[in-house]
Amino acid sequence: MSREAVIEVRGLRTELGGHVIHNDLNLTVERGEILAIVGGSGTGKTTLLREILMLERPAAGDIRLLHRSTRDLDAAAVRELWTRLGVMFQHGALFTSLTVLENVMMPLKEHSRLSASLIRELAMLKIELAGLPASAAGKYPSELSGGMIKRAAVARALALDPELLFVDEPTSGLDPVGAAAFDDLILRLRSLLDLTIVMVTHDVDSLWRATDRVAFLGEQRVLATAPVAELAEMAHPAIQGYFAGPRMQRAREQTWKAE
Amino acid sequence: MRERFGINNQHLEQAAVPAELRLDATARQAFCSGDWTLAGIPRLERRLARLDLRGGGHWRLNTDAIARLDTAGALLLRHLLDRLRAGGGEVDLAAVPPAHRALLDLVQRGERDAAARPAPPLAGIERLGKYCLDGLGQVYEFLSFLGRFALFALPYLLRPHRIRWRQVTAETSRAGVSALPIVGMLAFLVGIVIAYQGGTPLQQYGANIVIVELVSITVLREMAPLVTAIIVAGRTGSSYTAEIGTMQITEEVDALRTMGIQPFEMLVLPKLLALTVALPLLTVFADVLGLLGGMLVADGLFGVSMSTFIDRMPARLPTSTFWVGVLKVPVFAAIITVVGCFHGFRVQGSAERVGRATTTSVVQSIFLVIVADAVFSILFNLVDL
Repeated sequence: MSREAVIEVRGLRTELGGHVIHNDLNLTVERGEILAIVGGSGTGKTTLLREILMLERPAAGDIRLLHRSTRDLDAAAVRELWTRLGVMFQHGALFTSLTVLENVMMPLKEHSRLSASLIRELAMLKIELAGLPASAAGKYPSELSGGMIKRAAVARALALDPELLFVDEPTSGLDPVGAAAFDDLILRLRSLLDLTIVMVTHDVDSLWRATDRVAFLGEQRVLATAPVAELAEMAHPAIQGYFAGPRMQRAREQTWKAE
Repeated sequence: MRERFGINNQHLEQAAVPAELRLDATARQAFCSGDWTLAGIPRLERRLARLDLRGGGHWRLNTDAIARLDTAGALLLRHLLDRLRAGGGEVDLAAVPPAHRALLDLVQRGERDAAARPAPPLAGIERLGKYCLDGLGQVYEFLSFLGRFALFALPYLLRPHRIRWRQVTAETSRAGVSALPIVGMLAFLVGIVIAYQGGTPLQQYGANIVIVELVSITVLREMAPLVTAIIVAGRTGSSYTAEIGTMQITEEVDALRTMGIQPFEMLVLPKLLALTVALPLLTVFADVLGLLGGMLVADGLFGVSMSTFIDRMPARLPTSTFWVGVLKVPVFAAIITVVGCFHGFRVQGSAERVGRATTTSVVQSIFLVIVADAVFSILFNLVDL
């Protein structure tokens, strides 16, 4: 089955401070899937995400985002493309001087000419979709728990109805219950809003529960992209090392039991 | 897929086909078409608000022709549906594709409306009341901070070996030595201005020589202490607030507490001791440069030579003129430190609050310094100094 590729990374090369992080890296993300990017620390997961998001420029190679090459876009085209992406940064990156509601309303106010009341209603809808109680809308980020900050960040990322949602370490810093609830949220959003989701994660439970495919970064490239169950069977030593860890084993057994 | 280009903030709207709504009153059908998306609906939203749909009766909603529908469009569609139903009739959804119906269900109105309404702004008198209560609350907080700090600091002052002297010297250098150039320059300028402004009327009476008393009293008793205290409040008091406020946000203050180190001991007491030493010394420095500025003008413009000035000053003025100026300065130092630290510890939440707290702290410490100066004037007057 050939599906529409919404992100295509070809021959990517990244250098940071003289070190080569990625060399000839290729990755394809298809519409409607949840793809996780994993790999040991220092393999450039977050850097790859930032390059796809056009926040950093690769040394060589091309990234095609929603069918457009991002190499030579002018500023206006980049801005237009950004309105079609939603990003949840690792630490939420909510504006601390604004309430949750104001945070979510901000992109709507910037990019649409709807009436204030409809914008507010739409923002409340996104807050509700992200699984936050209505009472959280009037609160400032400093008054929220870690899990609620992540949900508020998702609500803001969803404000403009993006086609692509990027989440960086969605479950880091959450307790197991909160992390599992967040996995459910990701799955629910995908089915409700027709999203394509790319996530960088360390969480082994999330890999087994909430992903369609997993891209494994190592040796400066994507070693393999496959559903997690297939990936775990691969013979490559780096992948084996990653999946043979005790936590990974336990997560895997739990998934089998659940099935 | 259609490529979309844009050049300004309205690019989204240029790219979208505007959403359309056509009401067929005879067939009782509502036809929707176009892009019912964030970019496509603004014009329709404004039109819908003016539309009179109270005709009543049954309607049939047809959304087959909608090219794209997102949550914003679905929300507007939901509003339309509610308006049609408000007329009293039923709305037939047979011509709404399942995908559209799923989005409509998603945006089903719940208690969202109630929560979405912002708290009404306070009316005039209420705002005044809240403002007063907040102010009183702050005074209370400040007094209790002062009390806690005094209870904490007094035992320490009796056992000086427990004070962090290394930090005291570092703070003294930071607040005192590095403030020398700016304090000196401003005091010098103030001396020049006083001599220049005061000398002209004195000259009209031929009382040029009295310029010595004028400059000496003004500089030594009032201007040097005040200018020094105001500069230090702006320079050092603000940095106290910002430093402690930032530590408060990053939970460093709590970390100190859990390590068994009192924040007062580490953060406030050394600052207080340092400033109590540095501010009088800075004032003496400002005295010297202020007098020098006055002397230069007296010499150059009013024919009072420097040696006359220096001879006349001790002859005509009691030494208390100097001491009164220097002795009230430690009180200013205490005000600046305690107000600066108080506002630092009050910071909660975000980085923006640090900025706000710093502003409040500087304004309040300058205000209190001037009030204290006025009180001192009255007290010294009572004891004939």
